[in-house]
Parts: sequence; structure tokens; C-alpha cells
Amino acid sequence: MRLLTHNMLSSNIKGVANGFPLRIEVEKVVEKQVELSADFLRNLFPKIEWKALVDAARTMGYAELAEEVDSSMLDSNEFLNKFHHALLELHLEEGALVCPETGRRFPVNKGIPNMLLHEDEV
Amino acid sequence: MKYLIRLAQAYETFRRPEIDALAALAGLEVHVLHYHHDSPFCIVDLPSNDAAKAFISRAILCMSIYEWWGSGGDYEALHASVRTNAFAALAKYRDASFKFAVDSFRGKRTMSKQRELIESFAWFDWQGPIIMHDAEVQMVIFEDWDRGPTSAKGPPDPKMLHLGRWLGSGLRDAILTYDLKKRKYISRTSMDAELSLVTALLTLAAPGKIIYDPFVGTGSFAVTAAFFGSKVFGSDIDARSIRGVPDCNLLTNFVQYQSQHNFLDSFISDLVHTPLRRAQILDGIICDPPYGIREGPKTLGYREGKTAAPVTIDDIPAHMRDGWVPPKRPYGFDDMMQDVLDFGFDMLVDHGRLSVWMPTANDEDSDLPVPSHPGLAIISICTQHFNKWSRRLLTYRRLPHSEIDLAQINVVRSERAKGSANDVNRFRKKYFEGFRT
Repeated sequence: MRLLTHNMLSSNIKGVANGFPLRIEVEKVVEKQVELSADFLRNLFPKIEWKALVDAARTMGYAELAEEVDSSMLDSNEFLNKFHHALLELHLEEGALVCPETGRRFPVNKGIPNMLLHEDEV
Repeated sequence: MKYLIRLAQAYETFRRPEIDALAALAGLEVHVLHYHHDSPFCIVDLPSNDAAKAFISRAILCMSIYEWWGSGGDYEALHASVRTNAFAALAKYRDASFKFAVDSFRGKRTMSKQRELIESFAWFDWQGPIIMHDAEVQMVIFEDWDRGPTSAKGPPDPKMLHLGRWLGSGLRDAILTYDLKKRKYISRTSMDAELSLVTALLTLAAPGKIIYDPFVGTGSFAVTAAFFGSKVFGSDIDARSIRGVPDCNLLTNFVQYQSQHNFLDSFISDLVHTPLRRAQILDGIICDPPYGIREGPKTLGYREGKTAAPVTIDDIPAHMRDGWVPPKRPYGFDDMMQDVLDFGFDMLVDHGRLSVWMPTANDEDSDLPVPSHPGLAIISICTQHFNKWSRRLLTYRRLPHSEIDLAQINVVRSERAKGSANDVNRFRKKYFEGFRT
């Protein structure tokens, strides 16, 4: 699971008012290089919850993202490289996503989050 | 300027939506001047040759595009039309290498007759060499024949003729590349390559975009959307289909097509209880929901009257273990379609596209209505016919807020919450729920 996916996932347990962002429990992180697409990053940038990305990247051991950003930074290659690395190259291979309100764990095995709810959670 | 598109004579109702999608993807306006569902020759207006080449570069059902030089009901009329429309072009190619070919739709011409037809254009007075491969100028004589009575030999002459200069061809080779017979990981609900490719086109899959399939299964649409350059991710309620087995899973399909750089992630979830945060993130949504012919619509939960407390195995709740198969209850098809549309409204960017397949009976009286949503405009309805039923590909465009009556959306949502919206459809609803009480 990449941090892009983490940035889009939330806890949707019945009764939870704010299930975003999910806390990350890290067991194993892997890095996989992938070609950078500036068009894709520019498209995604306004849709990203930035603070959640910065915090998630830090949890995964990457602390290079600036806290404060604006769209003019998309012209900088240095910024694009860091954004790309945090968003698409860090994978949570084993671990869990944890609901910020209830503490419910959603396991991540072999990089695939299991977001299914139990019957009494829907 | 006029251009001739040579279409595949198949999936007719998908062809005009593809023409519109190709123009939208290339940022062009296209005007269809002449189109008939029973003909593979379509004449359109496009701004320039470069525009025509950009237009055809992603095409699946549009095979090739030609500069239009003339049309006529017989050869005399065709020659006259070429003389009027393309006279200036003749001198331009006087010394270029060239070749001529004959493309007879539903007709047959012997080699000697083809030669005679080609030689009738000798008045072009071209001096360049005739070469069969990569000639600078490639002319095609198009013949459109009527379907004759099955008992007789067919009509003596074609009903319409065109002459065109080849400019470019589309991506029909991809149909072979993505052939299901050669794909490693498929299931009984995998969609065939040609329609998967066209579906991705109608969703406007292209580089820089993010596209999501909420019923991803073995990834029929995900791989074709990735083929067109978009980044894709998907989810499924069935953990087994998401995970596959070590050397045969969703990821290995992308590896097979060397497009793993366009595959983002997959996760296990239910569309009705989607974990995606509701925001206008997605450029496209593409899906073939389970509709009960090969896979039944299901959502999380038990059939009414049954409940269960969480079970623990080795101190880990069973429902959080890998390989947990959740209890699923049958789920009304109309409800599911409305959930898909409402999800699309929440998640798509303005003008983002939702392409969704749904079944319909062939008997017109029992046709399912096209589901609607106040925040989505229907773009096209394409039909694939089977023996006793057919299925439709519905494509919607997400309306920007300025064009939406938000009060109407709240009305639709509160009615759905009350469960009254589908009562008019009780029989069909029950049919799709397997007549449960």
C-alpha cells in the first residue's frame, strides 16, 4: 500500500464522525522505484490532504516533506521528486491502518489493506 | 476539412461514443457529416491533418483515418467528385512514391478487376515510383456494397464509393495483446479485450489521470485503462480475487503487459461501505458490477433474521484475519446501481466520467430503465447483444456544481435513506434479490 492510497482511505465504521487519516502501524516498509510523472503529480496535488501525507511519510521513516506547501512548488524538480517518493515509492508491506476514533485495526498483508467491516460495524 | 474514418463493422452502438471520446481526448471538436450503423465508412469534419492523426492515435473501433478526396454513387461520380475536391492535391504528390488499394466492404473484386479500378485513376498523372510498403502516398478506394438477398449473387455494383489518402491508424493490435486467452489471471466474469479497451476509452483514460474500479476482480478494465496511460487502482469485496495466488494475481497481469508503473494499489472493501474519503479525487470510474448472471450482487451483512457475534481465532478476531470470507447478503440491483451513481457523484472531478455495465432483457417490454442521478449527465448508452439478453455500457459525466440543483440531490438521498425510491420497481427488485422475503 502506497501513501497515495493511505491518503484516500478512511475508517467508515458506523458512528465514526472523523475516520481520517488512519494511523499507520508499521511492521515492514519496502521502497520500489517507479518512473516519475509530473502530469500525474500536478493532477493529484490539489486532491491530497497534505498534513496526513507528511505525517504518514514520517511514520514510514521519510521526513523530507515540507509542512507548508503551495501549488507554485510544483515547478520545482526537487519538490516533485520528494512528493513522488513519498506518494508512490514507499509501500507499507505489512502492518495495519488504525481508526483514529475507535482504535479498530485494519490489517495490511502483502501490501493489501483489508477494509472490510464486520456486520455489527455497518 | 473532411476525413473518412474506416470503422470496424462490429459493436455498432459503441462507435459514435468512441468517436466523441477520441475527440474529447485529443481536445478537438468533431462533426460527424455522414454515418450509418450499417456501414464501416464515416465522414467527419476535423480541423487539420495533425488533428486527424491525434484523433486516431488512441482508437479501437475506428481502424484508420484518411484525408477525404471524394465520394460518389458510381465510378463516374467518384472521379468527378475527386476532380472537384482534390484537384490541387494531385500536383502536390506528382513525384512522390505511391500505392493504391481497394477496400470492398461486403463485396469481392478479382485481382484483375481491382487493377482495372486502380488504373482508372491514371489521369492523376503521377510520376513517382509505385511501392507496396511505406509509400509516401497511400490511396484507398472504398466500396460500400449492399447486403444482397441471401439466395442471389448480390447486387451487381457497390452502392457508394469513396477515395481517401491514408493518414494514420488506431490501436487495434491491442485487441490481440490483451486477448483473454493469453492473459495469465482471469475469471469467469473477465470482460473481453476489445470491449474492455473501448470501455476504458469512453472513461477517457489517458496519461496523468487516476481511475478506479470498485469491482476490480481480475482487473479487465484496470489493465486496459493502464494501457491508455492512466494510473489505476481497484478494490473488491472478494479478498481471494484481489490476492490471487503468488504468481497469478492482479499485479502479475500488469507485469505481463509491462504496465505495472500504472498500477497503484488494490484493497479489499465493499462499495456500499466504501472506505474512500468522499472527495472529488477520481478522473474516472470504470466497472462491471456483479448482476446475478455469473456473479450475484452482494454487500456485507447477513440475510435478515440471522446475526452473529464476532468470532475469535487464536486471540485475533476472525474478520480481521487474512483469508476471512465475510458474510454477504444479496443486494438489490437497482440499489446497487444507485450506490454506484451516488459514489460517482461524490468521488469524480467535474466532468469526470463513470462507465458502468448493466444487464437488460432483450424483450423491450421488460427493459430496465437507465438509472439517473441529478449530479450526473448520461453521455452514451451502448448495447452488446447476446442470445437471450443484452448488456449496456452506460457512461455518465459528473456535472460541475454550477449545473447541479443541490436540493434535488438531498431529496434523492433522503428518499433512498427511507428506502422508498425503488418501491415502484418491487418485482424487479425482488427478482434480482432472488425473491427473498
